[in-house]
Amino acid sequence: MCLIEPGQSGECRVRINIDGVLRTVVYGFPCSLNIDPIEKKPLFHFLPGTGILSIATVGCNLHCLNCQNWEISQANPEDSQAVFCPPERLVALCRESRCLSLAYTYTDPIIYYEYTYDTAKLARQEGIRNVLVTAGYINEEPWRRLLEYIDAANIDLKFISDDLYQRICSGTLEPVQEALVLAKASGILVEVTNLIIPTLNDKDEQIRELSRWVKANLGGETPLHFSGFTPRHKMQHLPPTSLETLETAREIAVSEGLDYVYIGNVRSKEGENTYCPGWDPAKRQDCKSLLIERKGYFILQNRLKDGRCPDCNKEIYGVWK
Amino acid sequence: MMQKGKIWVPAKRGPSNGVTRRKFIQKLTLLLGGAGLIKAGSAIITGTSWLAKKATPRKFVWALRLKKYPGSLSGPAGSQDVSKQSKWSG
Repeated sequence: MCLIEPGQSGECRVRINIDGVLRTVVYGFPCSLNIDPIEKKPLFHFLPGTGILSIATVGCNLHCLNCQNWEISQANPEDSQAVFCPPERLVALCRESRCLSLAYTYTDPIIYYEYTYDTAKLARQEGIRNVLVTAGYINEEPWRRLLEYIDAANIDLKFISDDLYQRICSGTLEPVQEALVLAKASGILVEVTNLIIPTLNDKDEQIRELSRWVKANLGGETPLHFSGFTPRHKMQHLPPTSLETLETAREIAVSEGLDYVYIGNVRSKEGENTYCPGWDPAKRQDCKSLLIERKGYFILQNRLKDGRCPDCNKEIYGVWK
Repeated sequence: MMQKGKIWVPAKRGPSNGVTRRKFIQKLTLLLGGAGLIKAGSAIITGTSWLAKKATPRKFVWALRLKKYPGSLSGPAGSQDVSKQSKWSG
């Protein structure tokens, strides 16, 4: 809970109490506005191979010691540079750029909630899809309201330990778990990212516990991305995550029953591809056909036919067109 | 007037069941006092819960926009190249 004294800003730095009225200083003022490959979010099961207009304002409600974007997430608005882009202009820009979707990302859309909400509502009316990339640290009521206009989300599950959430991110685990469950239950496409930080959350048992939680609460079809850590911000003393650790994590998650497990931030032979989790009755074995081959953010081939495996006809979880 | 040959029976006075007027008034006072207590109690509960509600921070407050950005502005959107991939993660 963040109590804001008169004249002061809150934890996130972008909400100010002016004479008892809460004001957001970043509404309509993104500090970053770019078209990214959707695979960069990362979203692997949502309109693959398309570009997505991505925005962020400064500020964040978490203070992760390892933040990869700390220069904007932990910045004060008065020290930052932004562009003026109200919701109408943003939606128009998305149309002009011929992007199918808009991403609220980089820092956390929960911080620029009102801006996200109004833009998402307008974008929905214009037939543009809305994507959130968030840490999911939000209360139920505003989350429910926002989800009405959202099509897909990549939500961080940073740790499966409340202690680590508190020590590393100044947050707690439970609200994130609740946000994940609610997002999945709302019917939007949900993908989960877990950044593996050496010595903190790279133990087999931690990976197993996290995978079991995802399977039990979000379903085995939920894509899980294990991302490699690079030393940044206040965690420069730790080494980058090795490919071996990420591959072991992937094997554990698959053995726990997750259908789509990916490796990110580090090049991997199989960890970037989508394979069919179905059963091939003709061959009487697991299908395991290569469905989408990726290299970095590029799609090398996409064999899906109307969202189904061309070999065993299994429907693949995702939004494909 | 009383008729000759008939026995006069005095009419029952006050509340029945052997309750005297004093006891009846005592009971009535207690009853009214009890109702008053209930009323006072419920008023206290209502007041306390109102105060607690007022004092508890709301979980959902829609912030109003501030029209002037406190930092620097690099021009309107569209004046820069958005087609470039962002350097930020996510």
